[in-house]
Amino acid sequence: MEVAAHVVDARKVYGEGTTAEVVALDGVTLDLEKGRFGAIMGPSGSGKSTLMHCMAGLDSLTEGSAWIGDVELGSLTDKELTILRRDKVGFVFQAFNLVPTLTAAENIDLPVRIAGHEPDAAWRDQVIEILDLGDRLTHRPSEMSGGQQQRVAAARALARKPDIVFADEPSGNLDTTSAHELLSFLRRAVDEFGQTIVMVTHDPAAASYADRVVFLRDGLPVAELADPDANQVLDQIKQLEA
Amino acid sequence: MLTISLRNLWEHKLRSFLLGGAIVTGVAFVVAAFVFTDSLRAGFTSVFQSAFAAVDIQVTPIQPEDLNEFNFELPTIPEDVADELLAIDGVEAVSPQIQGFVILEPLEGELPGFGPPTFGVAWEGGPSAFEVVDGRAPETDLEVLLDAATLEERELAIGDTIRVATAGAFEEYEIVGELGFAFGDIGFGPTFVGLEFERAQELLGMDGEVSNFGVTVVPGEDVDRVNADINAALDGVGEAITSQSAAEQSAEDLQEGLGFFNTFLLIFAGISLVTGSFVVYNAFRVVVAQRTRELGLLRVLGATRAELLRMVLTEAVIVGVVASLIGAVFGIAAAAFIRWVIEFSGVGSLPDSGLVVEFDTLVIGLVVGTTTAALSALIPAFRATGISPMAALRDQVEVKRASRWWLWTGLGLTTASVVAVVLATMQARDTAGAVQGNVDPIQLAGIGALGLFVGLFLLARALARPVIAGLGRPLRRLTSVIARENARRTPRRTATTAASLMIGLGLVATVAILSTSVEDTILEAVEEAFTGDAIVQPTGFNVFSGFSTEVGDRVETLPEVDRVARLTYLPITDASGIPNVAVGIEPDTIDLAINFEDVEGSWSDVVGDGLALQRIEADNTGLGIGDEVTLDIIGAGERTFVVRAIFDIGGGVSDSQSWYINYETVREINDQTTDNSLIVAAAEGVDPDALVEAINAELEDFAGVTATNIAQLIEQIRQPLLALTGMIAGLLFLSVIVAVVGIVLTLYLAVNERTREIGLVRAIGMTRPQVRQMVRWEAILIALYGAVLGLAIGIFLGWGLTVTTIGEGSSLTIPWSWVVAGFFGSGIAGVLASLLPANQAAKLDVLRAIAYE
Ligand SMILES: Nc1ncnc2c1ncn2[C@@H]1O[C@H](COP(=O)(O)OP(=O)(O)O)[C@@H](O)[C@H]1O
Ligand SMILES: [Mg+2]
Repeated sequence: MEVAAHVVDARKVYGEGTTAEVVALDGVTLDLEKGRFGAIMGPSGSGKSTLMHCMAGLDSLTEGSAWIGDVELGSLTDKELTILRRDKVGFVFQAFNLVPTLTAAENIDLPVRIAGHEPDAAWRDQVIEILDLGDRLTHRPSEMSGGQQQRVAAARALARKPDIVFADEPSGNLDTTSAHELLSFLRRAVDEFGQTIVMVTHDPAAASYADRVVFLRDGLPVAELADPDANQVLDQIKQLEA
Repeated sequence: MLTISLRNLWEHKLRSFLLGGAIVTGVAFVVAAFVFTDSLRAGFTSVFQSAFAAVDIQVTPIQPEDLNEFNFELPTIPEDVADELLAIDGVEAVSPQIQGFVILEPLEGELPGFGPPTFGVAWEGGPSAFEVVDGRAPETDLEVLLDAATLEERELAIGDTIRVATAGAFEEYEIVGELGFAFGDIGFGPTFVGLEFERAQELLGMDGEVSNFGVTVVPGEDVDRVNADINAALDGVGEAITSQSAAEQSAEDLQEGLGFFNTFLLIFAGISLVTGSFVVYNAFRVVVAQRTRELGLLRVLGATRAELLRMVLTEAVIVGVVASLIGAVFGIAAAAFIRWVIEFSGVGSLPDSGLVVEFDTLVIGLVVGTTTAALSALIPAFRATGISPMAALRDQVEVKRASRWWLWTGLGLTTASVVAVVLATMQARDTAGAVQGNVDPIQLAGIGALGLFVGLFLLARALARPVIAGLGRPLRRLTSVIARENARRTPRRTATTAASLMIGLGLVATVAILSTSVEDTILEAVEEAFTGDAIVQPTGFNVFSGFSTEVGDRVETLPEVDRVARLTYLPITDASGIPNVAVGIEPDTIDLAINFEDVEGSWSDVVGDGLALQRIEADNTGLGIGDEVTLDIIGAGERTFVVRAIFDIGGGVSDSQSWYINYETVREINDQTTDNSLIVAAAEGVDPDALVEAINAELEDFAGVTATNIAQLIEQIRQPLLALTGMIAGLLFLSVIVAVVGIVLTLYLAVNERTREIGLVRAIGMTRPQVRQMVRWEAILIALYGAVLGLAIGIFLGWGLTVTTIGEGSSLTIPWSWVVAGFFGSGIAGVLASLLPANQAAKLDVLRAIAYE
C-alpha cells in the first residue's frame, strides 16, 4: 500500500533546556496510507495536535523525520513548506476555518487562488453538490451555521485534490446531526474520490467513521484498531485508561 | 486597582503603544505649534528690541489722511521738530533719520521691480538703529554704505563702486563702508543703502524734512512719561512711541505673516487627535470586550461598577499622560525641524532665539492628550461595566445597533454646505445683484467650506464601503481582493483613518487650485490688457513712481520703434472717495495705449476738462456722457470734468484704472515732466525681444526704467509665486505624515485583531510576501480613499472659492499635476505606512494564531 505521509522516530520537545521542558512526541513512527481515512485518538495533552502539525508541515520536529509522499519536510525552507501546504495538503480546524470577509464560494477557492490558479470547476461543483451547500455559496461565514461552516471548510480542504487532508477535531464544536453530516462527507471523499484524510478526535463516535484508529498516550502510539465501531473504540479507551 | 491597570498595560505593550501612538502625534502637533509661535515671537521681539535699543523713543510723522497707495511717497516730518524735542524735559539726544526708496543697478538676470524694496537711509549724530561697522561714514555726495548681505551677494568690497539711483539717472557711487543694523540680518527684509545725510535729503526730495527722529532719554528718567510729554508737545505734527512698544508691535506684525503656519499645525493637531481618539476608542472597545469576562468576574467578586470604571479609565489616563509627555518631546523637536525647513527651503531666515518652551504649552499638551485618551475610553468602559455580572460571564454579549445620527447629520451638513458654496459663487458672479443675500459671498463660501469638511468627515463612514469597492474594482489578485474587503469591513475605522488625508489633501488642493486660478486670472488679464509690443515701466519698489519724459523722447527716435503711447498718473481721490489715479492719455495714441471696446462718445473729445470712464465705473457712479464729475486731485484740490467717453476694457479687468483725462491736462495740473508708462509699437519686422533689447540698451543710464514684452512680464509675475508652490508642497508633506501615522496605528490594530485569520491563510498556504501584500493593499486603499475624498473637496472648494473671490471672469485652473501627485503620493504614503504592520502580520506565528483555547 502506498504511503501518503509518514514520520520516523519523531520527537518533539517544547521548551528544551528549560525547567518547563515538555516532551510532546517521544519517538513516534507512523505511516498514513493513501486513500484511507485515519483517526488519531488520545487523552488531552497526549500529543495529537503536535503530531498533526508536524506531519502537515506547520511545525518542525526536534528529532526524527516527517515526510509527505517522498518529500522530507525537515529539508524544506519556510517558503517551500508554505507552498507544499498550499499545493499538497488540506486542512480542517476545529473552528475559525473561514475568512470572515469572503463568501463560502470564495473561501472554497481560497487555496487555489492563493496559488494563482483557476479553480477546477467540475471537481469543485461535485464537492459542493455532495456537501449540499448550493444555496449558501454566496453567504458569508457569519450567515452560516457551525455545521455549514465546517462543511465549507471541508470543501475548501478538498478543492485542490490534495495528497492528504489533516482535520483537527473537525466535529468538536458540532451537534450530533451536523457532526454526522460532516463525517459522512469525509467518508465519501475517501470512498468515492480516493482522498486521504487524517482526523484528530476524542469522540469515539467520530472515530468510528475511520478505517483505522491510532491511540496516542504521552507522545507515543500505544494501540491501534482497524475499522472499529464506536463501542470498540470506547472499550479500547477504557482499557488504556485502566 | 492601580496595580491591575499597570499590569494590564505592561502585559499588552504593543496595544499600549498603539493607544499611545495616536495621542503622541496629536500632542506633538499642538506642542510644535505653540513652541514654534512662542519662539518666533521671542525671536522677533528680541530682534526688534535690539534694533530699537539705541533709542528709547521714536518720533514718526503722522500718516496723512489722504495717503494714497498710488501716491507712493513716504510721509515726512520737518527737520526743526528736533529743537522742540530737545526742549522737552528728560530728552537727552535727538537723531534725525531719513529713509526712502532707491534703486541699485540690477544684477545680471535679475527681474526688475519685484522682490523686497531697497531703502536709502541716512542719519545724523546721535543714536540710530544703523551703524558703520567697517570703513567710514559717507562724507560726500557719491559715497555709500552697503549692508553685508548685499556686499556678499554682489561680490563687492569697500573701495568698489556701484550704480545707485532714485527716480533719475544712475550715478556711480564709491562704497566707503559697511552698514550694520542693530537688529542683525533678518534675511527676508529689505536692503539698506547708507547715504550722506544732505545728499539723501536731496535725492529723496526731503528738503528740510526727515523721516523720523530717534530720541534717547536722560538715564533715570521715566521713558513712558517722556513719551507722553512728547506726544502732548507734538500734537498733530508727529507721534512718539517707545522702542519697547514698537519692538513688540513690529514683532507681532511680522509674526502674523507666518501665522498661517501655526494655523496649519493646529489643524493637523486636530486631525491627529480626532484620528487618535478613534484609535483609542476602537482599541478600548476591543480590549474591554476581551476583558468582559474578567470584568464580570470582578463584579461577581464584589467590585462596584464605579470601581471598574475607574480601573479602565486609569489605564486610559496613564496612557494619555505618558503619550502626552512623549508627544511634547516630539513636538519640541518638530518645532525645531519646521524652523529648519523654513530656512532651508528659502521661505525666509528666522531670528535665532533658541526654542521657547512655555510651561503653559506643556500643560496644554498634557491636558489635551490625557483628556482625549480618557474621553475616548469612556464610552467603551461605560458600556462594558454596565452589563450585569452574569451576562458578562456568559459567552456572548449582544451588540446594540449603533445609532446612525452621523449619517443624517453628515448628509444634511454636506448638502447644506454644497448649497452654500454654490450660492456664494452665484452671488459673486452676479454683478447685477439679482441674487441678493445678507451674507458676504466670501463669508458664505468660507462657512460652506468648513461645513463641507465636517459633513464629509461624518459621511466618510457611509461612503467607505461603496467608494473602496469602486477603487478596488480593478484589483484582481487575491491578496488585493481580501485587502479590499478588509478595508470595507470596518467602515468607521477606515473612514477615521482616511479622514486625516481627506482634510489635509482637501486643504492643500483648495489652496493650490485657488492660488493657481488667481495667478492665471491675473496673467490672462495682463495678457488681454497688454497692447503694443513692449511696455516701458519704472522698476524698483514703487511702480507708481514716474520717470523723465526724456525716456519717451529717446525711445521714439529708435529705428526699431514705430509709435509710442505715453501714460502719466495723477493721484486723486475719486468720486466714491477712494484713493485712485487719473490716467493721462493722448487721444491719438489711445488705440495703442488701451485695449478698449464699445466706446460710447469719442476719445477725441477727451481734451481739456474731458474725461473718459470705464463702463464698470460709470455703472457704479451712475455717470453718463455729458455729466459733470468733480475729482479731488491730491496736492492740487478739486477740479470738475465732463464725461466724454465711456468704454470697456478688453479682458474685463475690473480693478484696472477707471478715470482717464488728457495728457496735456495732467501736465497743466502738475508741472512735473514725468511719465508713468510707455506702450511701444515695434517697427515692421522687429520682433518683441529685439525691440526690448534695443530700448533697454538706449535706456542704460536711466535708473529703474525698463522695457518688457508680454512674455517677460508674465515670467516676472510668475516668479514670486514659485515660493507659494514650495509652501503647498510643505503642507502636503505635513498632511501625509499625519496620515501615515494614522494608517500605521489602524493597521497595527487590525493585524492584531485578525491574528487568527492571518494564521489560517498562512496555514492553508499563503506565503509571507502574500500576507505583506495583503496588508499593503489595505493601507493603499485606505489612503486612496482619503485622497479621493480630499481631492474631491479640494476641487470643489477650489472652484467655489476661486469664483467667489474673483467673481465673473475668473479662470479656473486645476493643477492636475498636483492632483495626480496627491493621489499617487497618498498611495505611496499608504505603502510606507504598511511597512511595519505588514511585517508584523508576515512574522506571525502560524501555530499560535490557529491555536484554539
Ligand atoms: N507551544 C507549546 N509550548 C509548550 N508546550 C506545548 C506547546 N504546544 C503543546 N504543548 C504541550 O505538549 C503536549 C502535547 O500537546 P498537544 O499536542 O496539543 O496535545 P493534544 O492535542 O493531544 O491535546 C501538552 O503537554 C502541551 O501542554
Ligand atoms: Mg489538540
